[in-house]
Amino acid sequence: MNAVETRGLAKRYRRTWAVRDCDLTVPAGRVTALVGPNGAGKTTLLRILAGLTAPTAGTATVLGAVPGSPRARAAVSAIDQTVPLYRHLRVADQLAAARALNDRWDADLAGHRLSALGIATSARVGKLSGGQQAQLALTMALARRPRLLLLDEPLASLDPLARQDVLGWLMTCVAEDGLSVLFSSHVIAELERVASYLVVLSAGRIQVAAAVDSLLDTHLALIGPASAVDDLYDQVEIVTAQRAGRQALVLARTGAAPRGWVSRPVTMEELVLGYLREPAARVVGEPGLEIVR
Amino acid sequence: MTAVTMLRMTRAAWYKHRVSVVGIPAVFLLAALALFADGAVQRHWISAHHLGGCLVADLTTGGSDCQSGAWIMFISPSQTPNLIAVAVLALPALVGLFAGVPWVAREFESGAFRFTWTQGIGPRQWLLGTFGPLVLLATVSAAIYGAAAYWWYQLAQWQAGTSIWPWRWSSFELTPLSIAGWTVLAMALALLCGVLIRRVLPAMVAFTVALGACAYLSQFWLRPWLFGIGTVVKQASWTSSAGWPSSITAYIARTWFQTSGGQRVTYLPAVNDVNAWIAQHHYTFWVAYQPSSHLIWLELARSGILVAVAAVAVLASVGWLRIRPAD
Repeated sequence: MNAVETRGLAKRYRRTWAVRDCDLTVPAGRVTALVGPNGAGKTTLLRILAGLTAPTAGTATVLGAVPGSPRARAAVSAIDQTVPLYRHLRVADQLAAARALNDRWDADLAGHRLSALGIATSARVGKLSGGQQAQLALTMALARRPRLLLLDEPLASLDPLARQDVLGWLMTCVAEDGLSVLFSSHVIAELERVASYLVVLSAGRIQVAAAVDSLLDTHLALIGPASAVDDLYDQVEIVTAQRAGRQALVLARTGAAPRGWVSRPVTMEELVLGYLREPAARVVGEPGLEIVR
Repeated sequence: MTAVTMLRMTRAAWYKHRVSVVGIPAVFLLAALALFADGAVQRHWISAHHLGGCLVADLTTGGSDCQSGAWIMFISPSQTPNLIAVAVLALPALVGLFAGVPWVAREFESGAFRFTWTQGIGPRQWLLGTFGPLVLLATVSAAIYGAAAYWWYQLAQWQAGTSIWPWRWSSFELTPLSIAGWTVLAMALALLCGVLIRRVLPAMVAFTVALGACAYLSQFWLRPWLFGIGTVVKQASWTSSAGWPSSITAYIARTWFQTSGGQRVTYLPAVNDVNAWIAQHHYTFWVAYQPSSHLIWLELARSGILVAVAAVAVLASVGWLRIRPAD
């Protein structure tokens, strides 16, 4: 069973389409990175999957259930980018409210995690730092023992050490419990460390949805003369080409460098930025499909 | 929604809104206590002066005591009790305004609803599960408060020099049934305004307008309309008390003349001797009235209408939440 499946999913706010023609399959048991520029529709997509927003058109399922259905709610935890918490409550009351709202609740996990983070249960939620609030939200999301975790830029307010710690914890949960994570972030470098599946969303449409390893294996950064870029289009599938004086840096879907070009492996950041620079280029499904323009 | 879900939501509501859950009954019960204390002091004074017999609509029942200086001292020409009655009636509205509206609107405004909706609870369960117990609590407290208000107003009317007449608007409103009905309506309108507007201050303004409109309609249209339904109609004498209701606590809904042909006439022509004119033209005089035994049924009907409007507001809130959950 896939963690997420959408078919023709669309969401319109008045005259603006936030998400459009979204066909997406996210496998279970992986950390999936969801990236895209501001306004690309990441938050809308995650809110639809969390059952917080109804789509305008199309269908979506999370772990085989309709988002917002009792079965989906029991299996899916979500943290919105606004980190929704009751800020007037003490941490203990916030935890008690969460425990009351759920059939499954791992009080030991929550207790140990918060004491490891040094978050006192007597503290008011609103008095915690932004990072501590994000940690509290994440702790409660995982204490529900979900099978799918939807995270909308949860690390933005964390310092680098805390981000490392959270990512490590997530990886442990994925490895030990088979948790699926769909993770939206602007910091691609941190996603690179944990994500094994990549979804790039641009202007409300899915641009890339494929396994990270396959993408990295099938793309190369080519460095060569700017004057030869036009000829290169006949030899390889070019995602994007950047010219800097007489030299050009090309992101291409190819296994080997053509004659006259030097190649090196691409990083996930280069791959994402390359596709975002060229919104018409798409790779959906396992690499092997052609780039669609 | 299952009982288990309801219980879970109620427990969660306790953790989230403890101040309101304690505060609402506390406000009603403290106000009830104040009315009870004031009523008790007045009743003690009346009892100490052996003036209990004067506390009937027909002052002749109490005999000469009711002409005594003590009784005259008790009756103040001040209208203060009526002003307090208005304040008493405002309490359900204030509870709706300052506790009901923020209860929902603040969750939307702060985005905290996303926390609950991403737990094991859906939007509809969240709405009904948190609001239901609050409304129940507020209604029970309001009914107790209404009982105290009713008890207090029996004497307060006398003190204002307006004697007891159960059909007066203030007497009709200051009952447990009426105050509970207004509380249910206030809470339901608070829910609707919160769900529709989703921001605390604009929702409070909308709530004030909506409840004000309901109060206006109830006062100037619904109550007069209800008082005209199910009346006892009798032929009565124009010149004597024959045919008129025997109790002075009845409510005369309307009177009219009828021609020998059965046609209703509200006004007579200006003549010198009305009685002679009536006899000459074979007119009969009719009276339609509500006996005092109808009062409870009319109060029940009016409270039922308030609760029905409240049910419509709750259904509209649930429907709107389904159409527009969190956008």
